[in-house]
Amino acid sequence: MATPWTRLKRYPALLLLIIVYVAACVVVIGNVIRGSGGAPGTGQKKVLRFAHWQLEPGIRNAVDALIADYEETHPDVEVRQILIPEEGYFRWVNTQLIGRTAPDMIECGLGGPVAWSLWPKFYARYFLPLDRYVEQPNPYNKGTQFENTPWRQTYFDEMDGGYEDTLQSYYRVPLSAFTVRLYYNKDMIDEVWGETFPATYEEFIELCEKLVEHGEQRGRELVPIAGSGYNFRQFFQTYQAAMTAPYLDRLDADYDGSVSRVEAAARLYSGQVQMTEAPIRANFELVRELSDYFPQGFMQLDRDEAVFLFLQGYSAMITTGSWDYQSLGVQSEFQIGIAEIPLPSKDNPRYGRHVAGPRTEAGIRGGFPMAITRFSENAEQALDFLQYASSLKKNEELNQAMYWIPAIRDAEMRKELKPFAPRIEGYSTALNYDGPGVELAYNQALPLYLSGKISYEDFAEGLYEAYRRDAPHGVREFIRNNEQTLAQQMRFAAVRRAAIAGAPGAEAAMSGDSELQYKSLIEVYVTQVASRANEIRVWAESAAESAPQTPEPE
Amino acid sequence: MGRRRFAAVILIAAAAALAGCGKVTGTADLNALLTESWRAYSTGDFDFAEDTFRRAAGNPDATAEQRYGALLGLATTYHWSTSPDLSKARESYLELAELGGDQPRRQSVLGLAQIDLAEGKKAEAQLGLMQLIKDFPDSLEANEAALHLADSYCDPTWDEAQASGFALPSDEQMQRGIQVLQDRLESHPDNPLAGSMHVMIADQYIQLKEFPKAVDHLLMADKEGVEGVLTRVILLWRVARIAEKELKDYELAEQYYERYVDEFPRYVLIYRVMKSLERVRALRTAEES
Repeated sequence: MATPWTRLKRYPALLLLIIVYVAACVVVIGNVIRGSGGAPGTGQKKVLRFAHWQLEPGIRNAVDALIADYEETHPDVEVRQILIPEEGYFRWVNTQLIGRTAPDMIECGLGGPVAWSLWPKFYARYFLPLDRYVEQPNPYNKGTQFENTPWRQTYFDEMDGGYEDTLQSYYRVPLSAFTVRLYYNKDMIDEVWGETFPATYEEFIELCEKLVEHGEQRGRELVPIAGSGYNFRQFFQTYQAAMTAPYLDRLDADYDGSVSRVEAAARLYSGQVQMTEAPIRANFELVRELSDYFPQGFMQLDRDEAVFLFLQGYSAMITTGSWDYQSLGVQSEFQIGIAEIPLPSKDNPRYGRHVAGPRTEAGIRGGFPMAITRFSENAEQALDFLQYASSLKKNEELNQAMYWIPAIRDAEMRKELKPFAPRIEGYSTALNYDGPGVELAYNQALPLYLSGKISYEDFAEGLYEAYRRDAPHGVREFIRNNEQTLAQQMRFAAVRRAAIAGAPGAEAAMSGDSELQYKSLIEVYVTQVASRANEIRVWAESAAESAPQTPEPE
Repeated sequence: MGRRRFAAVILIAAAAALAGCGKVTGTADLNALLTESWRAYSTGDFDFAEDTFRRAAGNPDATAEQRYGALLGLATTYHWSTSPDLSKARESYLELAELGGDQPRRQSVLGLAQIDLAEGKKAEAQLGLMQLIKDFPDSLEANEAALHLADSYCDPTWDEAQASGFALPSDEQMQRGIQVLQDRLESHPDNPLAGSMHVMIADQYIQLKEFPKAVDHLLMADKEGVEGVLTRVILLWRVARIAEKELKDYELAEQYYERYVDEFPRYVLIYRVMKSLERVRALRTAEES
């Protein structure tokens, strides 16, 4: 009787196929075994992947150092950074999440207006809610003053930067904080002006003049401020907050402490607030004056072009955030100084009397926010890593290495960063000039005014016409869109109510105490209902007041 | 049947069973399915939630409780998804009521009234909400119903005939809304939504510019305990600001500005609060002297 081997030998092609198949199986099984343990040679380690868009060399090295420390105390874990360029980041994240191939931890929030509206949907669908953890102490704070403090309360902003308002849940673990300041070429400014940077707007303009002269004397064009639309906005917002602060009280009809876009738009539409009022006019005339020291056509330049001008020494100053501190320092061949954007002094005859104070940074939220993907096989380990990174000691070390501001209270920032310390003093913006529906007209008219192509009177008149024409539709659309926010509150209240009402599965599906959450959701709902009613009332009363009067019959 | 054929049949049957063809959903499985469905709903995966709730509702092995959970889930998903289907939500709420029992009926009536409000049928909604409060006076749903009922009187409505696009409620309508909440607070002073009810009453009084009454209710809301940070920040600021600007009660203003400083030292209004605190202290000193 022929053995199977003898039979097989009669079919060499089949034999070859079986050998190749078996070999392939061995290779695949080997890869699977090695893959489950991480990179080749790492044995049975858990692999955590950590994606972000901070490509600056200093940041990468600082995160590597944090990872090395973590791996030393967690020999069974390997953490890998995945660095994705900012330009394609949102697209990459989107693809990874939809394909369920996303890393365990992802930095969130980048992408522009369209992406910002999508992130909440991503959080809801793809990321792990952290509510059940944030009220527990961070285990890595053992032995510190935060040993028994809930994780949330160890943050300078009580972890507000991790809270997703639209979903009423914590999704992100912020690791740093940021503020915006004026960076300057210290070597150049010292030479032209002296060692003390201008403290007032008047001195600042004087400095700009001197810089222009300095450039002319050397036969080259020197633009005092490296500007783009982005950088200009930093200046504009500073002066807007400083000079329109009195409107915070004047226009806040419902005493909630702020003036909403609709509240401001209603008054600009009706003429109760006019663009020709002294503080508003002063605000625009000041930025018009300042724009002479920006490059020509700066509103069309992008941020990178502005940074290039600054680093190449074509400009002496630039506004940007603390996130650029290290990278600008590394790339520049000159010393960098940091200053506040100077405000007009009280004695300034044109602007002084309109200046209430600086723009507040009291409400800033934690940044560099990391979220954990829901389908991560190592979600608990990822959480552990983020708790490690946000512990008092490690967050301090990480941010000191990155030259960023720590997100954890009492964590020391580098002394070089002291000028970036968030400023509590000051005011938030009271008057948004680009009300609902008027955005396009405003954004078209502003560059024309800044470049001197139209007068302030024409700018103000054009904007008023735009309000009369476009605001009625824009405000209605705005209010209609905001109704979705109310529905959002009810959406979550409904599942909490179902849980309280004993609907099977509802309680188990949610984290946190349903009774407490339900109560809190209804509170927010009531607040939002009131805010909406107030906006509509202000709008309706303004519209009625400004409606053409029908002449009384004789 | 030969051995080989018998073995083949056994093999195919085993494979089929392993592939899930023979799976029967038991009670425990159905609970797990419902949990998954609610989770999908809460994370915005409405297609999945709708599909699984419908499967659970149609499962012949479901207990009465599970069927209630599935139908409520289905109605809630149709109602509150980002692309709501109000007519299907209405059908599901009606089906829910047919199950009988208090709990399904309460959820059903509340859901149907909210759909009526969304569709602009205020009168029908108000009838339903009043009925719910009357029939189930001690329920949680009655508390929420009182808030929706009050809001239905006080809320501005869309009205294209108006220049602004909105019709504002009359003072009488607003007073009626306030009365609904006051009645509820009188009959159920310790209900868990009492704080929200006081806040809503205060909001109406602010709109009516009846500031002393507004402050009274804000103080009562504070006493009841307002949990949410956003609501609490506004509450403390409002009491202080209205006390200072409208009531000239500088003592009360000082007290609430101080509490703001203690509770929210990093919040966006803190600088204004500190400045105001200085101002009202100076005013108090001037008054005393």
